[in-house]
Amino acid sequence: MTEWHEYIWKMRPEHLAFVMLIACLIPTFFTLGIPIPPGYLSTDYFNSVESIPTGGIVVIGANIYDIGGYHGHRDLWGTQFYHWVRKGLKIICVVLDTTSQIAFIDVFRRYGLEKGYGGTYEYGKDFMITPFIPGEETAMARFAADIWGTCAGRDWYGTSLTELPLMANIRSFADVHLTTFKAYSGTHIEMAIRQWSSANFPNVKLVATHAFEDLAYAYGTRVMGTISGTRGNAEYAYMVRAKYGLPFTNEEVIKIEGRVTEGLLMWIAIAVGFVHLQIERQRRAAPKVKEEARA
Amino acid sequence: MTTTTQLTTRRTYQRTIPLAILSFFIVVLVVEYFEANAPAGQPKTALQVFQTDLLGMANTAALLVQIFATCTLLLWQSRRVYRRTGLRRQIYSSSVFLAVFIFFMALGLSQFEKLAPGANYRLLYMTFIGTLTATATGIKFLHHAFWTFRLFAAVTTLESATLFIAWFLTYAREMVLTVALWPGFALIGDTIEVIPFSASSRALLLSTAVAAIIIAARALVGREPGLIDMEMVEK
Repeated sequence: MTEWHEYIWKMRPEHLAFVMLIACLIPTFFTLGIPIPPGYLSTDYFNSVESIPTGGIVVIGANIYDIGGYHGHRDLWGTQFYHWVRKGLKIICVVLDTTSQIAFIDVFRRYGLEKGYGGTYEYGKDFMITPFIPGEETAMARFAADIWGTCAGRDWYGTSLTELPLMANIRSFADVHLTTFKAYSGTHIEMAIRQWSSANFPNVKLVATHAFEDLAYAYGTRVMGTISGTRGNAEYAYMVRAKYGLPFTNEEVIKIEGRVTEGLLMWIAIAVGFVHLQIERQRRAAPKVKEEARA
Repeated sequence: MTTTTQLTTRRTYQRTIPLAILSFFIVVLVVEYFEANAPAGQPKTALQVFQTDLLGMANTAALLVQIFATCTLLLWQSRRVYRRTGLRRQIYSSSVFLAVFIFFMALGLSQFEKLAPGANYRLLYMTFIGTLTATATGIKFLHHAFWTFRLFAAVTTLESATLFIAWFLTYAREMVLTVALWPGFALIGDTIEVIPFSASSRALLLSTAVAAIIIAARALVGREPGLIDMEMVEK
């Protein structure tokens, strides 16, 4: 007869995946209200944005090369842009791959930030999107030193930068206050640390949305805050909501609750696995004891 | 013309000359990287102005090469994908779909965004590519969790026990509930990620960088066989 712990141990991957999926889905329908204590990383990020005066310039570069990366963390993007807009910061969106312009356009419209889509921000006056600039770190270095030259004097839509009021007094990162970078690999944030931080432009504050371990060596000197992982995303959403109120249900909060239910389930499964292995070891050891006793 | 002469000629104009130009720009960029910038507000010396101009030229040249390389790569990759799957009878419907999709994406990248203002293109792109890749990532994590469970449930050695404890503590950091119950979990998780994990990942990066420098140096002195040599051997 199969005992209860054997069911767990012999569970097929798809069955376990299904159970975990259910566990993750619980917070989608019923918000659990789990407390989210903001850690120092997210707090540093939030405070760095808060320290920029109204009208300050933010440069956000994106090298996501996979629009699913935006799709999966859309509400984090939305929260970041919403925070900047509520602070009254002007935003320059730098397209460093072939898809991130879609993310930039989408985030302004989906979250009601752009004029004509429920918001107040006007293209060319409050924000702009650059053309695709290939070249990874070279492109970043060139852009930081000479924004107009790197863009060949035009934006994503082909409009001359002379027609965009936002760009009238911006030539290089000497005119920028805050920089940040969207990419999903450890080497990319290193590029930002080298090219887009105070290492080259003392006036610039670089903040990140990268895992802490990727930038720990530069934290506090070159990187002034980071939103690290799903927990960081939720913490940041919590802080922005607390100060400005978020007009949308933030899926990052749902995700972190899903992680808690999923994690608890996984721990239970592992504990059951240990129990099963212990019982099996005892079973295997039992006949040996009898034989030794007979001898 | 003999094969040796052909090879030498091709090496000169296809490899040696571009490598010499590239080496010059690499030196400029490396020197600039290690040299401190002039403090803000202070006038630059004539040498610093010259360096700035040289750096601007190097960056522009590198950017142009990157643009050319990216465009060539995109075209080559599209052609390769199309030739591998192109209009085979066995997978006719998916081949046609793929061909239309590649064409649509190429057209969309070049033109659609500038038309009215590309809302349909963005919607389709987000719906197809965005949803599919996000779903694939989600499934990957579920599968990953299963194997994590199987591996850690069988903790039998000191190594696997150490890994299990490290995983448990870093996962505890990621669960806000545990951090809310005891904030020490956040500190422990950070410490594990910053010291042992960061050290090992940076060691990996460093070894890759050293290997890349060695290969680049060998290529510069003509000791690393390039595509030209391989093409000649094939002939």
